[in-house]
Amino acid sequence: MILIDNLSEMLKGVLEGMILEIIGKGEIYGYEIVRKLKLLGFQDIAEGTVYTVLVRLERNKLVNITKKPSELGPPRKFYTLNQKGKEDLILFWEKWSFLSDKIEKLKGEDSE
Amino acid sequence: MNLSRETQEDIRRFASEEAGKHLNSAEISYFERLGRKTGQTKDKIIKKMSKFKLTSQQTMEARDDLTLYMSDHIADLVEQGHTENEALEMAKAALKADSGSDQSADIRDKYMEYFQSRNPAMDEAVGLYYGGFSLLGIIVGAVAGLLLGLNVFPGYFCLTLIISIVVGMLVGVACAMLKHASVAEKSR
Repeated sequence: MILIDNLSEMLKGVLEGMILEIIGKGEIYGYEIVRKLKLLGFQDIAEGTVYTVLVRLERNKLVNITKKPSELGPPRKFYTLNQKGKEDLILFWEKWSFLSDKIEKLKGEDSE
Repeated sequence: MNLSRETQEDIRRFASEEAGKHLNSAEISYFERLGRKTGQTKDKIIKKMSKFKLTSQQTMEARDDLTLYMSDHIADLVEQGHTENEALEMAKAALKADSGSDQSADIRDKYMEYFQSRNPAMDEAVGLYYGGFSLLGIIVGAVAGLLLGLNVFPGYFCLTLIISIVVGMLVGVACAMLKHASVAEKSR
């Protein structure tokens, strides 16, 4: 797996979409998302940023929340995507396709 | 994983302090988007936000949420080989709401405010003040130098002329600086 440092600036614009995608794959709790991102190779991902994105997703009503008892005391929040979240995710991937397509084209032009 | 009682207390205290800030920070991002459209700066957005007080229920939930999130993070760090205290400090640094990104956003806002408030016409006027006053100083200095050189110090004509021109120019620049300060004060 390739590890690339200092991705935080580039990730800022896409982190919300990445987190929506992870939540879209199945019910998950907050810190487990950080673990998934780290397993994907985003070792330098800022835990605080992921937390803030989660709070924002909740405030913008993009996720459904189920509370389950935890071994640490307070109930743990588990996230799933609601309809609005799914629509946002579709929109994110459309934007991503557009962006990556244009960037690839740009890269192709440069190497020609 | 079981964390010590002290660490748990510390986490709870930290979460109580920071949870509300994280909620506000998430809310700012929303208002920031609106603000950008209407050309408002962060200060104005924060003033608007003060109308939206968080309920105690929301704050309690956020505190519990952050407590668990932080405990998970600490547990991971301990598993990676850090001591509990080290892990606690690292988690505090990682989860503090007023992070570097907020600071950079503040600096960006200040720069934006500065450049938005720039008025090219005023900059041009200030430049003309400097040019005009300097030229006026040189002319007055040269005339005074000529008169003094011819009538008072005929033996030191050139030196008197040069000194008078330099003094005249310095007085001109000083007058321009005073005018600049006055214009800057009025435009605030």
